[in-house]
Amino acid sequence: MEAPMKQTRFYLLIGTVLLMGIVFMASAFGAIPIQLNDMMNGVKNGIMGTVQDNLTQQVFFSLRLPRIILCGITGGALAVSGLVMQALTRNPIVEAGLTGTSAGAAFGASLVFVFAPLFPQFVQLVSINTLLPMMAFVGALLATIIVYKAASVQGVTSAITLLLVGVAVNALAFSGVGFLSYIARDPQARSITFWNLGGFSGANWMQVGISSIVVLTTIIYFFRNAIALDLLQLGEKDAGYLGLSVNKVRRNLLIANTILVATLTAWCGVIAFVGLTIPHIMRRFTSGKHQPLIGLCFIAGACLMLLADLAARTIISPAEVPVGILTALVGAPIFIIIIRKQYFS
Amino acid sequence: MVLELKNIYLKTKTGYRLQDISLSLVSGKHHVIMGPNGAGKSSLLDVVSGSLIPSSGIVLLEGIDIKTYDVKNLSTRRAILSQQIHLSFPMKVIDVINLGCYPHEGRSKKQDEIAVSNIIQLLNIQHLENRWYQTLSGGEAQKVQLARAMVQLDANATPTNKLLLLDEPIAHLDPQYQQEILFQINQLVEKGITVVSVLHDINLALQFGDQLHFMKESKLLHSQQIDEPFTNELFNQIFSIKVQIERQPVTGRPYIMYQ
Repeated sequence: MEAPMKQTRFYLLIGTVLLMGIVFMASAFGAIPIQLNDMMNGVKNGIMGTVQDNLTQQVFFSLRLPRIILCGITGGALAVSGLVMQALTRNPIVEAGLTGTSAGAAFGASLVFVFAPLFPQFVQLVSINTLLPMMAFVGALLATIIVYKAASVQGVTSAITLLLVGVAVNALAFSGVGFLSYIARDPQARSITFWNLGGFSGANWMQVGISSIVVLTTIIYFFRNAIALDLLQLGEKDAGYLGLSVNKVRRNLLIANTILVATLTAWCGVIAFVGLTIPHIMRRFTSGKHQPLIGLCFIAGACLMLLADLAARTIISPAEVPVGILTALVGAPIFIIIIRKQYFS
Repeated sequence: MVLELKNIYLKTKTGYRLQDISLSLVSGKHHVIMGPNGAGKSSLLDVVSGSLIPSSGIVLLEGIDIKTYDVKNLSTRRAILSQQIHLSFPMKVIDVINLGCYPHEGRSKKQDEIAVSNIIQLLNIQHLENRWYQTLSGGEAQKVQLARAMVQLDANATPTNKLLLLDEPIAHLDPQYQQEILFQINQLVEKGITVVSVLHDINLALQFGDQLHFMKESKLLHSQQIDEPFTNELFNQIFSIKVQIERQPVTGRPYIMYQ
């Protein structure tokens, strides 16, 4: 009985070592290469408040480090969020985006891009850097609430209606984004496109702080409720027979998941395929229980996102490729290979 | 008396699914509910399990209204084995069986392990423990689910006053597994568990049931012990079939031949 657990611990250890290696690589490479001692001094001087004396150290502490941390926790959290959504809906082709969260965020952000220039006084009052994530968050939350309300019949939400309504609300939100892009002027339309492709170029310590709190809280919550995700694999009815308050648990997990995805999407835009692909790969390394899966998915998601972001900012350096393009470019073929192996062999 | 139903009515938009059902189930017996499609068998099982609240009437589990039970407490007293369960993602058999430990709060990990290992031995499925659930045959998967339900009831340690509900658990299985699973279930009945099953196969019901309850058109028409004589008219009235009733030479139990 203990063998699979030992194996999982081994994978967790390997994953953590790998993640540390990738974090170091991501710290060292970029538009400006950074040495280890500059990283150490950058952190030290950054905390002391004297980092501005050295450009390399300043780049590391003010730009690269927050970007790496935000990128890592976003990748990890999106992977875990995909895992939770797949378990809740018992559907392998689901990620958080499917319940309207990402599409709603995209619509909220697009509204800001198109209409903010029309109200310069208001934008002066509330900076665009605050307004954009705020509207994305509100959009994400609203779209998800609409999906759940529309999918519930007499207080009961079945997984299949949730997914179908999610598809419809996604289409609606993206048609809104399409319309806004159409009426937008060129630079605004370009901003909408960039935002929808995701990226971490605007990362700062405030975003890291807020995201860390939300990610840590929700991941701990998921971890404590991992047994519920295991039980739900039996189906809603049989999980209920085992004493699980299915509706309550599912509602709470979905709320936590929505807040998690909405917060992260608000900073970094729509990033596809991490939540879909990583859980499928990681399931191969465990006995199927969700508690170890949450840890493995977080580490793997962080690794993938950091590598994608590293590639995004080095391939055509000093310019950047939006990270969402790379996650889809890498994630989609891997996903197809896994699905073919899993379902056609 | 582990379970009592008093004047149960269940009304839906399309009409009555259960009408005036009163039933007392003696503990430590295998009760079989029989009847044609749409007779209300599964609805009755849903009401007995506490997952459907009747429009009127009361269900008493050990003399207490089933509605008043805490959901986890209820889960340690009654378990349901449904038709084949498909898991959406790969899972090891041992982890599926372990799910039965969920309602047993406050038990140590060691106690959980002992409970699980005892049930695995009791059902003789040690060889399946480390397999992936998805790779099991239908019969093997049902044995694993039976083990999971037994762990849920802690049936090995405290079998009395425990209720196992079977909703056509052997439908679509090979005859070998049908016999094996029902035989194992009856071994549990001998230990003191009360079983209520819905079975479609009349001869399997007659072979394994202790008390048979016949339903038709959402009503309970007739109940009788297996050792009381059965009449051709009963089967004609319930199932609209003509049968000849014989007795098995070894067990003395009745079986039917279709005419």
